[in-house]
Amino acid sequence: MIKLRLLPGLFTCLTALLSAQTVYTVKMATVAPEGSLWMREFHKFDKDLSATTSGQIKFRVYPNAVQGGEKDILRKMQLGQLDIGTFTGVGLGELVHEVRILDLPFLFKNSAEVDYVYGKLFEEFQQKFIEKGFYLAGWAEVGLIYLLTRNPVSSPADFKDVKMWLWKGDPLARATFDELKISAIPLDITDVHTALQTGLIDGVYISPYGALALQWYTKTKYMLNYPLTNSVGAVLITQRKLNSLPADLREIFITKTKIYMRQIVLASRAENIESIKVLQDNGIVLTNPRDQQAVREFDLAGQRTRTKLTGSLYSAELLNRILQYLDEFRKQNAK
Amino acid sequence: MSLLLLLVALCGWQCSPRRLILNQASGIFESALPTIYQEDDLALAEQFFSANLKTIEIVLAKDPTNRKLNLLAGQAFGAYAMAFIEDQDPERAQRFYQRGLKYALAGLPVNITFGENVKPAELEEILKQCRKADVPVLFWIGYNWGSFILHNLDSPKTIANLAKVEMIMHRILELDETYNFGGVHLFYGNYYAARPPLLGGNPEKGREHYLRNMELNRNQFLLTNFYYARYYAVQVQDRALFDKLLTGIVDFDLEQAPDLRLFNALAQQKARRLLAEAEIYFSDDNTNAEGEE
Repeated sequence: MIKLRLLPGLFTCLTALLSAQTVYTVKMATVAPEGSLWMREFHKFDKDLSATTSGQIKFRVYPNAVQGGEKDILRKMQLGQLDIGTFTGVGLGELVHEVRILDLPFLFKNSAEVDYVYGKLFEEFQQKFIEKGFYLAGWAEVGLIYLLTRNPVSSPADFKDVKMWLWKGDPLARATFDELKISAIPLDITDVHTALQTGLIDGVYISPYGALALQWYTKTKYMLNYPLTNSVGAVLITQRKLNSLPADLREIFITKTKIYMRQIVLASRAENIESIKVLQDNGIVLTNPRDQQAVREFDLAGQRTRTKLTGSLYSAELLNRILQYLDEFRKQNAK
Repeated sequence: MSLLLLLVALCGWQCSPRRLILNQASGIFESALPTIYQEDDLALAEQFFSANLKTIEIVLAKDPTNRKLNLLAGQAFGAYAMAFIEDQDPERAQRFYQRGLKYALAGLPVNITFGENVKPAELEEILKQCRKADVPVLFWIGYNWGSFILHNLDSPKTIANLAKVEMIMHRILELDETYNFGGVHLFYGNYYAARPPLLGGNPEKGREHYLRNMELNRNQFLLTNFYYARYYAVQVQDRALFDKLLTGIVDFDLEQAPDLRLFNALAQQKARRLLAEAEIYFSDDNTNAEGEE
């Protein structure tokens, strides 16, 4: 009888103990909207993490840029108002400017090269971000960027009459277009659609998915099937947040983040490949570089841009190392 | 027994000409709408809609090319999904929007037919031929299509169609901005305010459209106030505006606009829900976002 009467009490104690476990809320902000691939994958991550940690890690998610653009998110992370965020080169470069080296034009030929070089540089960059108070949780690139124009382009000379958009304040794009002898028109991204409509510009650079989502494809007719660049992206967590987690939870959090970021990268690549097909279905014509000479000219413009930016954005040593990695990878794969 | 079936049963299927009856049936449903719009009991209105959706499809199966019925089906599925399904079960709502789109497309006049795979350039030409009388069918195509796309941003094929929806809505804006409680302005409000500038949004343009809609409806069609709070106030992180709009909706006396009781009761329900989960949408520091890169 006594035992029986004790039982409910025991249960109450146990429940109290269990519910007393600390719940860590992690605040995540991104410019990706609800309903996008990014958010769809993120919800899977959230669910998995919650299950693995028995609900000890909980996300509070701010999608759709409600926390502002990348620089706003970064500032709020530094102030401790946000813990984790997604960034492109624009935001990442604010902390570690040499990361912009990964945005250089005509550097990577395909995603396999991107993976190889990114893999080689991961720990080195991670250290640089840690020094700034951020943990590089995983690369999450925007992906390959293409040129879309109203008139066909198949060599650098064809850009002579293109009124190309230049993202205001983007030093990399400016240097690249200078080397291609393109007289670009600097505009905010929000003004591009109207500028395409009015004819102020008739050429843009963007990911295939972006061309669809921003509807720029309706005002262009051709896409040069030779990527301008691979736009870098990554997920950062504040060191402050990571250090506030117990060691076991921190470990799970880091491992899971990396796994899911990789999945997002792969899904986003597939999405961009599908987007190219949809662009074609909607009347966009793909052009290839006219001949080997045209390919060489594009690559030479890329080389000149790299040289020009050496010293201001990154060191010659880092650039040479990346070129070496690429060389190494291409040789391995040529066999 | 629902309204349409009752009418059809009274006449019997042998009545002729059958099309006349079917048209009358859809006319009855249409003429019932103003009375339904006055209903402030949401459960009763939901029952009316859910009972009649299937009936419309049954009647339509007898006369699948009936444009008027197809348009009615497009309207009924789209409106029902927004009003009663979207908040609780977004995936189910998507299927309703898809069905609504299919019917609305079948409601197009023969000289301006197009399908989901129409190329933007072709659509532009087709839309030039549209007149004011085509606004209802265009609106319900755009409405269902746009709502479906907003829930499927991860599909390139789907998102490509957003440009087409915008072209359709643009034409409606030229032809008749007042149709369906200024619905085209509500569309543009959401279209610009729901996305961040980096992804094609333009909160200020969205705001202008919300305000124009409110002006057209003498600020009595509260669904607009709801979406103004849900998208614009959240996008610019204006918590004061968010609270003001939503509490304004909740405190509104439904008798001030008896013809809009259903929409306003719905807006009140949505507003209460949104107020309860407001913290999801705003950061603790409550500062305004400072624009995009």
